[in-house]
Amino acid sequence: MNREHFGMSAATILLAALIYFVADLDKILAILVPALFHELGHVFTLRLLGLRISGFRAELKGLCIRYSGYTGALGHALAAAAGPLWGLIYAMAASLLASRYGSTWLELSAGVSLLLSLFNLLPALPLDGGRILYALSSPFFGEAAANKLVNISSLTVGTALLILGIYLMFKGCGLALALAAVWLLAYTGTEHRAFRPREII
Amino acid sequence: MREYKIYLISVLFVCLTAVKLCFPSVPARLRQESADILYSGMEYSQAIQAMGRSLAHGQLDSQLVQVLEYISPDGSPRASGAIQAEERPDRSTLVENPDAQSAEEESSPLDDARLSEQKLPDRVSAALPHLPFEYTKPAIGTVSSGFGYREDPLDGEAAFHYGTDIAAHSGDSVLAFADGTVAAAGTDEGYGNYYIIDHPEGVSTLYAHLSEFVVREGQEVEKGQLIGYVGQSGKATGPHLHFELICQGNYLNPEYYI
Repeated sequence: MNREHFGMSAATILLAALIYFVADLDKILAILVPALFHELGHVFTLRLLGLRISGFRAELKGLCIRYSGYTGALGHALAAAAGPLWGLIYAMAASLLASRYGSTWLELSAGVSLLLSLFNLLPALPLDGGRILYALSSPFFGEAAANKLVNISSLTVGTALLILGIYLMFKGCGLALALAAVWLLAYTGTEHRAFRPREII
Repeated sequence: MREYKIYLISVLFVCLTAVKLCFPSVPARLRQESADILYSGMEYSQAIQAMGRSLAHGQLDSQLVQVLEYISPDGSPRASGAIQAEERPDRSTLVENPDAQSAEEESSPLDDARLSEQKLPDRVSAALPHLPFEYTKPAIGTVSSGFGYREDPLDGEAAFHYGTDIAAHSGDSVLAFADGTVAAAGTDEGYGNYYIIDHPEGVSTLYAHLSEFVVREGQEVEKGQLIGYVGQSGKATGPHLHFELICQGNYLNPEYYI
């Protein structure tokens, strides 16, 4: 695979640099390693289904894996579900290893992987859950109706998260969830129009 | 990705590494400030770590219940933060016996307590001084192991038990004995997660084997305030609260006060 297959948007580079500068390396790794497992889940499943991966691009909304080929709705749903599934397997494995060897880093990365996987299973579009919902509903209702369904679901989830995030913010728990909700809502809008088969973090 | 981009990114990261290594206070300050904005000082990583830990033990449901309790409208703002103080505080002010810190080179705030468990029952008082403040029972449950000599449940040897064990369920609330200040919140091999709270008139209380912390070191607590949850961290054969009551450096029998 040549270099053109890997891309990174400028904003992502700056954000990565900022996080790299500010955060502790062990915390960064506790997020990167579960994220890597998540993506490997997508990649292996895509390969297993005989799809061709044409490139990766890191964007602010996550890592996009471009792939081509057709395997049917179930295949797309499986490919989307594989990321969170691998994440959950990683979380379980890391947690078991942590309890055996007493590593706080493994405990942390297990928790991160668990949260990451559950968040990704939310039925909202830039996330894997939204893709699963689309892939599974399109054969029944047709693509237009499936698009509509996913849009409604995405907006509902995003709005609910935003309300919860703002509530937590006023409760003195910080901006974290509210920011995640804004991120979700921002990308829900850009995603639904041209729904191309590709996977994200 | 184009060649020049890769060079630019490499240079950027090398520069950042250099600054990070040469001026570690800069990222540390930024980290503190961003944590204040994003988490308002909440220890999210501790909470996430607790989730990761409980996954293998099948206790995730109780973790989630705690998270829900804590984000519920009447939940305490730090109820499930699983907050742990990293440094161990100095306990020497608590027990004013200078010989306590003798031969052991390792200095832990609990050393004197541990030493005393072996051979210093002379710091134990059978007195029943009147405590000049109101107090409450720190956990609901029955006394499973009292104050005094007993057979050690772990190694079978006779040892003095400096506190009272209250049998309770994992996750039950642990309450502050009386008004005071959290003098120590830490983790110890034997005591597991523990708190030491200083009360007026030279009285202190110790709460051990907690599953989770709720309040922080230095924080003022009121009588009956939720400070943590029962667990079996450290050396314990089951979930219980190990409670010690220390007055002017002498261990009192807590059973008379709870």
